[in-house]
Amino acid sequence: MDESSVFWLRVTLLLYSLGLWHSLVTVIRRRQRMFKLALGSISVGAVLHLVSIVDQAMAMGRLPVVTLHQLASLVGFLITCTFLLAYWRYKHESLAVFVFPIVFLLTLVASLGTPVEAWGGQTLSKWWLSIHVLLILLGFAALFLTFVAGVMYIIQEKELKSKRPRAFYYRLPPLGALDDMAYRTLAVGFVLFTLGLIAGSFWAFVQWGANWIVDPTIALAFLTWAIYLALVFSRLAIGWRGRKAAYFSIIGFCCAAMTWIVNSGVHSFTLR
Amino acid sequence: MSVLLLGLSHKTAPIEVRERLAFPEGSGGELAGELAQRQGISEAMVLSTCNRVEFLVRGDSGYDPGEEVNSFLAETPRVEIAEASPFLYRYTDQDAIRHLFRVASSLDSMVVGEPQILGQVKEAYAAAKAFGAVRGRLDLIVNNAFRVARRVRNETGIAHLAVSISYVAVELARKIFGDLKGLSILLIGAGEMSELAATHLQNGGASQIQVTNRTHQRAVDLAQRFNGTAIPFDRLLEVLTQVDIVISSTGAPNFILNKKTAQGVIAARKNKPIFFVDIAVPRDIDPEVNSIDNMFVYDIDDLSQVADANLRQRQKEADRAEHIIEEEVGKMVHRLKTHEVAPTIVSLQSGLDDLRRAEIARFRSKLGDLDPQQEKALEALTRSIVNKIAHSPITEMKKLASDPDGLHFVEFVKRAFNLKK
Repeated sequence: MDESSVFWLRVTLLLYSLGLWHSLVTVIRRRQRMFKLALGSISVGAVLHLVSIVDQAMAMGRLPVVTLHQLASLVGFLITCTFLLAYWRYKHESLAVFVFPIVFLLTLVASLGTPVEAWGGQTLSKWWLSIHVLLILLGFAALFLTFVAGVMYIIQEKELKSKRPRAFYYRLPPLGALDDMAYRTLAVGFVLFTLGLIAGSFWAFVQWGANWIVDPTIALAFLTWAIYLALVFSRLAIGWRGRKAAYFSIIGFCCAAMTWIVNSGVHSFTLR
Repeated sequence: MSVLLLGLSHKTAPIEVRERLAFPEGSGGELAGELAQRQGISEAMVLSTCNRVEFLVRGDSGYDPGEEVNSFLAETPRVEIAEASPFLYRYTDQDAIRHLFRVASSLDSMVVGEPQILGQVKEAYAAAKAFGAVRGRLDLIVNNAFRVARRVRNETGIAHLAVSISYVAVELARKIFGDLKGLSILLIGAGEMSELAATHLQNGGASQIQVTNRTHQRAVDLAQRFNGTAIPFDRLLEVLTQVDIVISSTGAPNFILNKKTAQGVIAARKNKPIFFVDIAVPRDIDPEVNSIDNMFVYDIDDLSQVADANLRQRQKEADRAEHIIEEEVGKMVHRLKTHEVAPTIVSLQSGLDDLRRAEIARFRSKLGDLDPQQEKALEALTRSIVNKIAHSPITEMKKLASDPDGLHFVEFVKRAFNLKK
């Protein structure tokens, strides 16, 4: 990859990280925070992103979509542009919570396509792995609670809708408390999972170079993350709550559990 | 221990008998004081409510407190004891404690789980205490009854399940929203039951109340009573997008809210849950609205259905409560016994040792001069005889401390060795 292109891409990533920060804080606090700052940072980031892509295109003499990383970069850029256009036209702030993390992760993938000499150390790699494992485990624990709250919610809701209280009606907590718990654990779990995924990407990149992205388990992990992003989005932006959100979180957790099972033994590609 | 409980209740006696035996309010303490003065009775408490009259007494050792209570009742002028006696139940020791625990925990009440009885027992206790009629073991037992009642209340749902329609509405609101604090209520129309439910909800913490009525003046009047706001009836839909609980009881012949409109309402609410209590007949809210997510509709029949289920559940909880009572009675009896056994052992040992010293003092002069070794031997000899005599009663007493009849044996040892207390 062209060197100056990579440089601009990394600066872009730095700027996009403010957008990610905005999303995570919003998810936790349930209210939009620092939106203007994040928006400004994303806008500047988008310009530099364009510079990076143009740079790369000139070096290659064609549209840079040869590798998966280049494709990620381009898709990330296009999503950013679409969002900025949509925002300029409709002023839907709530979309940002959903879009910023995606853009950040795509750009992260893109920027991890070129080896970085300084990152090769074994100690550093071990750190990335430990942080990754810890965050993902905590994230799963929190999401498991979301799942449990979801199951309890559905049972309690059935009891209340049926109007014939049975044992569960008396034993389970109120719907309001369950929905609240589901949201809180989802928010915390989502933040931990996102950070864990970033740490994991770094580790895989350090360990396996640019090829890390083609591993199927990685794809599954990203898919799970995407499902949870959708979960968060459905609650925050669409305003789903209660039964729908509960069912969705159960499905989401099952996907997460699948990733877990497939990835057990800390990723198949460590064995390669 | 010799605790006796004598009394009658709604379970054993018809109202004609209960009302004759019942004592005027506030006289229980004085009665208990008089009872405790009598020979053979060391402590007494009198519980008199509209559903029961009970005498709880503890006798001095060696007396049958039952006789005393009977003669006491016979001397009380306005009670025809002869008429009441076939209805009297009489529990002693362990059974008396169990009965007291069950009464305090509201397991023996007409409506199982009703909360008043504990307060009545507490009043009876305070009154008896004021007259110095409760001061020892009985104090311990009654205080334990309060603790057991609290435990039953906390660990079983016996006292928490609503069995009246208006309370069921409150309970359901709690099940839907969790905390009632900060919730807002809309009253559509008026009526005794809906106002009662609103009052309960308000007591539970739901602060804001809005009232609407086809006749606006009525809404204004009612709103004033609840310290709320009156809303014109044509703004109903708009208000529905904001409130959490709706209590509806209009005389409208048709539904005032159908499914289609309700779908618009829930969308405008961004799926915030809403609870409709439809007390009206014919119904105000289309029952189909209940099938919409985050909308809960209960009509009058649904509420009474929940009340019935709660009543059945209360029975189940009562069974659990009985287990707790059994466990606590066992603990109590054990505690009382160790209370009685330990001092008896101590006084047996010291009594026998006093005897030994006295006898040595009596015969010592006849033995003449003894060298220190012989002195020691004499001590050891007498001590060993005394210890051997005391050994088997002490071990038996310790062993029987956990046995229901153990106290008879303790009583026997006290008498056999002429021990005072």
